[in-house]
Amino acid sequence: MNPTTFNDPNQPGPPDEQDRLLDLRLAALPRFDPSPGFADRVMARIRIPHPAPARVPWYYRPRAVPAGIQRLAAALAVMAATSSSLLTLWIASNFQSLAESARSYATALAASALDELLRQFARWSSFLGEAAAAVASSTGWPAAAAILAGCVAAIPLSMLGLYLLSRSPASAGRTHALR
Amino acid sequence: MNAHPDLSTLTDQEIVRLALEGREAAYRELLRRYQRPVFSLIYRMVRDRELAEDLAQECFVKALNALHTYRPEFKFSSWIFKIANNAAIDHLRRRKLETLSLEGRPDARDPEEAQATAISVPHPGESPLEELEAQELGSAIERAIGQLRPEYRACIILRHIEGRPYEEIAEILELPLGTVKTYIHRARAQLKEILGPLRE
Repeated sequence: MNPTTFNDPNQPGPPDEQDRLLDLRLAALPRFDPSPGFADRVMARIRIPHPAPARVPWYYRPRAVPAGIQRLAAALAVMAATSSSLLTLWIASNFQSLAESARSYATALAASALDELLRQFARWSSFLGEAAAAVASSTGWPAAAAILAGCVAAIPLSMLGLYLLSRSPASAGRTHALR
Repeated sequence: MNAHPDLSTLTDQEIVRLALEGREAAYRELLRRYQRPVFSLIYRMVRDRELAEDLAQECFVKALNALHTYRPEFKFSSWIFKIANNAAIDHLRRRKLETLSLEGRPDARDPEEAQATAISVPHPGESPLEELEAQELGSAIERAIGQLRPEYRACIILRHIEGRPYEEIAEILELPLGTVKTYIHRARAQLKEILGPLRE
């Protein structure tokens, strides 16, 4: 192409300029709207899924509880967690002395009473009683210690229960606010 | 109470997840986002407003009813444009076959036999819809795009009107990246040839 023609306003520009102009023309092209009601016509043919309810463990079926109960349960859970943590720390730091005093206390003062308690306990639940007795005999702990261990184990279980209660859906609100 | 009052701030993937949870508003949001670009693509491909609307509707119904098959590691736009482009290309292929049959038997031995087996269709008068189409697609550049091969047309529309990157166009059209670049280069050359010298 003759370069002198670039100065002529009636002549097209160089190839780069032609590309730029083509880009401008293409970029200026509009998008088109479908006719009104298009979305409604599509939506009328859409099958909106109804998701299956989330699988909940058999031991936990959330039920609506009043918000006040939930707050109380949450507070109790925190209290139980705090106190059991402190108790654990205290036991750990005084374990030797506690063990000695518990053993002497159990054997010297209340062995017979605690053995009677264990027998009663075994009568109520032979399995638990046998287990406690087995623990007591295998570890050499006094029966009282085995029972205490069972009680200590109950603390986290009760904490779990309180936690689940505090997480239950509140009866004042809605459990599925998605739709 | 609406858990997500402003769906417009969410990504496509988040909207799809909400739709699969059964939220009608999420389906509507996907439609709101894509009805214009999808309809525009199909309209420019088939150049018939009524038909484009039918194809776009089928495209959305197909996509939204199969939303569970969408893989969120890919762009939703690529997925929906792929469905739309396939619908348009399928239609153009079918129409080509129908056009051939209207022009007479493809295996005709001579022009007389082709003429004898051809079907003549009366040309209808221009309807209001056709007038609208003539306005919308009547500019020189729109007519030039309409003269491109369907593959080139799709590339040009996606690249220059929808502003999609080359990689996404390759994904939508299921073509190698190099082929997409070649198609766009050739399409641009053809457009310049059809349009002649461009001026400001």
